[in-house]
Amino acid sequence: MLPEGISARPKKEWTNSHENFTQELVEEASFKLTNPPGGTGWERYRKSTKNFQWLIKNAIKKGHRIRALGRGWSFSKVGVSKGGIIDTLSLNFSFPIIDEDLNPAYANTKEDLYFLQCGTKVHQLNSRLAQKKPPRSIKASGASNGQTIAGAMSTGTHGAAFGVGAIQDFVVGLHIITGPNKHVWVERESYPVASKDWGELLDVDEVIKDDDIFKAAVVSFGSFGIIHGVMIETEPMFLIEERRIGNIPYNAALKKAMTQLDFSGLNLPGRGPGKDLYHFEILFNLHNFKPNDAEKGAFLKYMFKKAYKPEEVNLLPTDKFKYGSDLLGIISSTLDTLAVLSDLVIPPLVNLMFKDAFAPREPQTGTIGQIFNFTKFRGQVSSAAIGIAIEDSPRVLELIMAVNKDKPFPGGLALRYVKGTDATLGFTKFPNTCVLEMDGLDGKASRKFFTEVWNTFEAEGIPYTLHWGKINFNLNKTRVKRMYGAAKVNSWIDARNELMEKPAMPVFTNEFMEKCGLDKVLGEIV
Amino acid sequence: MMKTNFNMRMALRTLSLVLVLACASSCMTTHVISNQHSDNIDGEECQTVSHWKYWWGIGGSDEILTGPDSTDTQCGCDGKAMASVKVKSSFGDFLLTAVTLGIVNHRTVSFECAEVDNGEQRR
Repeated sequence: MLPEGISARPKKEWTNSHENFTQELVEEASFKLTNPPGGTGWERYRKSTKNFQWLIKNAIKKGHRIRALGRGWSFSKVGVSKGGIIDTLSLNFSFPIIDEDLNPAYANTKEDLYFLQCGTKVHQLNSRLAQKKPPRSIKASGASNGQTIAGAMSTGTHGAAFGVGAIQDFVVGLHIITGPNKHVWVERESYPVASKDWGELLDVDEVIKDDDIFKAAVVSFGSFGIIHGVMIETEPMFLIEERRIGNIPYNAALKKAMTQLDFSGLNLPGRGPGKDLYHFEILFNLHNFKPNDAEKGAFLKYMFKKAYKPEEVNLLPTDKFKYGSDLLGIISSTLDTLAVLSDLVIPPLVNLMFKDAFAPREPQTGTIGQIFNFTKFRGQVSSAAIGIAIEDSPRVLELIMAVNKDKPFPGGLALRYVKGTDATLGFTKFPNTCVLEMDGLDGKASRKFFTEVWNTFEAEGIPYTLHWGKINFNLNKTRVKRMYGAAKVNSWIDARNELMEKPAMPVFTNEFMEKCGLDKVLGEIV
Repeated sequence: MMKTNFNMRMALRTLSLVLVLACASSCMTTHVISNQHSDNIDGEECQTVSHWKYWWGIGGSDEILTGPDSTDTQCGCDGKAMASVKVKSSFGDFLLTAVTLGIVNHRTVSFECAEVDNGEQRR
């Protein structure tokens, strides 16, 4: 009989949200968790901790693997294994912080901190922070708001907040279930947040204050056990003014913005006192591009951050998706079947669809929760994201344009600028990172294009990383070491070994980690 | 010249075949969404029901009962609310209706549960 709060969800396979992979599963290994009823929120939270430990114990006993899953939006198999899926969506409590929870050395106030259970979705977080008096906000968001906090953080979800960073960069503490008999609180030694009372409230076995372990665990894609709770830092509510403009020539002024984040030459409309540029993103139609030609230039999507004044909120209506969700899958299959002929079809097809996807429009103003709202792709799509140093971005753009001439990409290219992370395996690792987002139809044409782009970067000696949760099928042990350096990879492996109970490690190992050489168990007799 | 025409005809036939096959794998879908945020992991409906109707809609029940204690319920929603309902008719469904002159009709109905928002807890 299952403990209260755990229900069986037998399934033999699961297809991800974007329909680009199906994961084979062990039928009886998947479960859904809810906070068991009765008692206070904290009592129920602690009961869920015990339920997670029961699941780990059960997996060890049965000899199968499990992974806690968020919303299931990853394009790669980084967060799943040939075992079971633990559905955490109903575990979405959040807790305000009180004085007793704070470490005396914490530099800010209790209002700056917020504690979330793993399944809390970004939109729930936004809405709860907006209800505070005075209202609060997260510091940065991905493009959408449907991900769970644990899932978004664990794969390095980012937006284009070039002065802030990715989701993991405002996380300051983690409650991790590391085995059937152990759960811990982890925070940086250099940035303590929680008091002794906090550890007692969570009833953890150990409080770990260690920068290396924290920086490894914060982007660990579900492999360090189960992250049950996440402490984040928030800030007072602010407004974002979003602007989208087109016909920007690819010239010296744009290159200066791309390489130095110096926007002075762009004369961006909307600048003014009390506004700081917050988000910067450049979009290109690869099939309609010519340097120094505004008609064949870039689109800009940029956002100013300004003080919160509710009367200034002015939102544009959300558009419906114009086509059936099977459309992209049909086009993909058609292109795959057309083989060589598809190279002729792709450019006009992209030119047709690009007009709908990236059109200049009126400015809109809203909170972070209102601007980054629900934007899930429909149907069979493919997305790869490459992290590079911003200094390399013009050179890389020109290389991608050259690849596209030979292997046309059925999609568009966006350059999103993100402040670098200190997470050990955070893919936005460059001090100022440019993320090349290549979103398009899933199929042979996209995969050929991605492969050629990655190979070109390697041939040209351009350092790059790949988003853990997007298309990254070329990742292997050698490439991961090349991307992050052997010292960082070893530090991440050491942290996993130090943190986890040994019998639990195989439970949270998956095929993706094995391929990337991240599954090493130290002290193992071979 | 004759060879060129032959190649052109073959190419058009191949393209037509590809399009027909592609359409055959697609569905006519109506997706009624009241909440984009469901309680289900994406790629998983709470419940999928095969719904049959006969004799131009006269035969077979119009209803699918999915309340907490209803006969058709295989997957109850914890929050006792749905997020969305999807009705799909496949190419095969259309073919079936056409061949039987509307006597046998089939469509697939699925739903997702609305998310259960536990909210902020008191201290």
